[in-house]
Amino acid sequence: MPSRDSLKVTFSITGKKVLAARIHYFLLSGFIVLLGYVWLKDSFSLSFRAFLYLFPYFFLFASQDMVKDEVDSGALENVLFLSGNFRGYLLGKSFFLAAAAFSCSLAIFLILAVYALVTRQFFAVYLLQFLAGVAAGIYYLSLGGLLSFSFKGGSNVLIVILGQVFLFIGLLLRAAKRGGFIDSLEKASFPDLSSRLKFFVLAAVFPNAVVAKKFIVYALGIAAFSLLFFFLQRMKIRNLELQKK
Amino acid sequence: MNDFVLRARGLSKKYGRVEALKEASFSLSPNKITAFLGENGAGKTTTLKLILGFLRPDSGAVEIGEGRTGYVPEHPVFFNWLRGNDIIRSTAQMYGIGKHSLARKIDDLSGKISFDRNLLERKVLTYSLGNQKKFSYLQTLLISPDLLIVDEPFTALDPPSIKSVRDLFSGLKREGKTVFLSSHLVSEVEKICDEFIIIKQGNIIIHEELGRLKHEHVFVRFEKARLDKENLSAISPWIKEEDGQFIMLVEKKRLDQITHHLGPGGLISPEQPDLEKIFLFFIL
Repeated sequence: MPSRDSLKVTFSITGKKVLAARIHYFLLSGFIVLLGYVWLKDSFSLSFRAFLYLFPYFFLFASQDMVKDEVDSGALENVLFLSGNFRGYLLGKSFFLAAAAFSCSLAIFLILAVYALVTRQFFAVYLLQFLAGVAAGIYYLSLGGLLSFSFKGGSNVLIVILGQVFLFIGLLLRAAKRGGFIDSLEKASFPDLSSRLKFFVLAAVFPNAVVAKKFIVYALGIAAFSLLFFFLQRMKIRNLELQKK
Repeated sequence: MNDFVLRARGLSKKYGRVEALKEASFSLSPNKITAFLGENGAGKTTTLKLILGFLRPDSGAVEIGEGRTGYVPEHPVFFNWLRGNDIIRSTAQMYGIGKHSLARKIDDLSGKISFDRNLLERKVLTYSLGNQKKFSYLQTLLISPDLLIVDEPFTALDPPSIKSVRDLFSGLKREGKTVFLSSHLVSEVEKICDEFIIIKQGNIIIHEELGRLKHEHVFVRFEKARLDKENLSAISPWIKEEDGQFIMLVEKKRLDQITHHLGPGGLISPEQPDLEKIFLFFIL
């Protein structure tokens, strides 16, 4: 278990890394511009919903170059990480990144929610959708973290996004012939085990799906997967060795 | 109080099928500078990484005495988004070093290793290799380690800096600290080390006090035909064959025994040992 001082140092180092990455500023400002554009061109309500569906990506982007780059760089052989303390650092990073992505999401959510309350456009379900989005985000972070043991830089993020692109292409091709799983999706009704499993595969690749009102309950399944992935990460970190530079 | 600063017992490590370290056992006594010598790939870095907790042993254990351990890698690498000051402050926070004490230590250590403290405002990645090495010394010595482990202490340093670092090690020893140096520069470490350990193909083959070996031993060489190896190994365990001759590292007081066996004129050129000759004797 990392000590309090070691956690502080982990948070300070990781915080500086997040702030130093220009891509984060670019993505955040792009996201805000997108929400503003939707608000101006359509409505505030649609902009709010777009936020709820898209903010889990903050967590995914936070997971880039989490492990492999730092292990391969040799920087973990610093005096700060002696006696296996590099493992505590890598474990602590996930907590910090989750907290950072959550804080950023919460700040935007609160701004939008206050405006929605003032203009009487706020619905209680938005709160549930936000929580489901957080579950999806944490799932992204756990999945991205696990992938970053094998993939360098942002390639773990790219793999998840590519998976989603293939998923959407697959769904589009199936949408041409009605019936089966597409109908189940529309009705949010999965009567048999096969369709339920298919939905879990969909949610595993595109967890943002659980933000939809009719799928919120599946956020619990996503949260369970996150726990599993974090557990696997912890096992990998515990067995991790700094072999090469 | 332990009579050792570090004790390794039966350390073994394999990378796939390659045995990098085989049942290595040794201990470091307090207040000594110990050189850890071996060829490339002998298992030096693996041993250091096992001691420092970066690798897990397949078998065996490392016991480190009370106090702090510091480490300076051969090629120190730092996170590329951090400035020197960020790393120094993190180190101070981690090891509970107060603000005033930190400023004083930075002044003191920068002078000792000729490090320009203005560099601390810049990202460490932008430093020259020599300054990165000096910065690593600065960071590590901030924590006042009781045991300092250094992999290739002189890499990337210019001659004046090499002297500064040598003086630094001697200073640490005067303060009662223990220094463990893994190096190829045998002539440099000979100037300061008290003990040495030689590792060959993953096996620790000798751990001795340098002074004792230099002052009480001598290399002798003689024709192989004159004596058989069994008789000789009773006189000294350090014997090898080369070009039809035996070369022995033997205690001076036992020279008589050899000359007695060899007869007049049998002994060729007794030689005073130095660390380089000792190293080559055991390695080649």
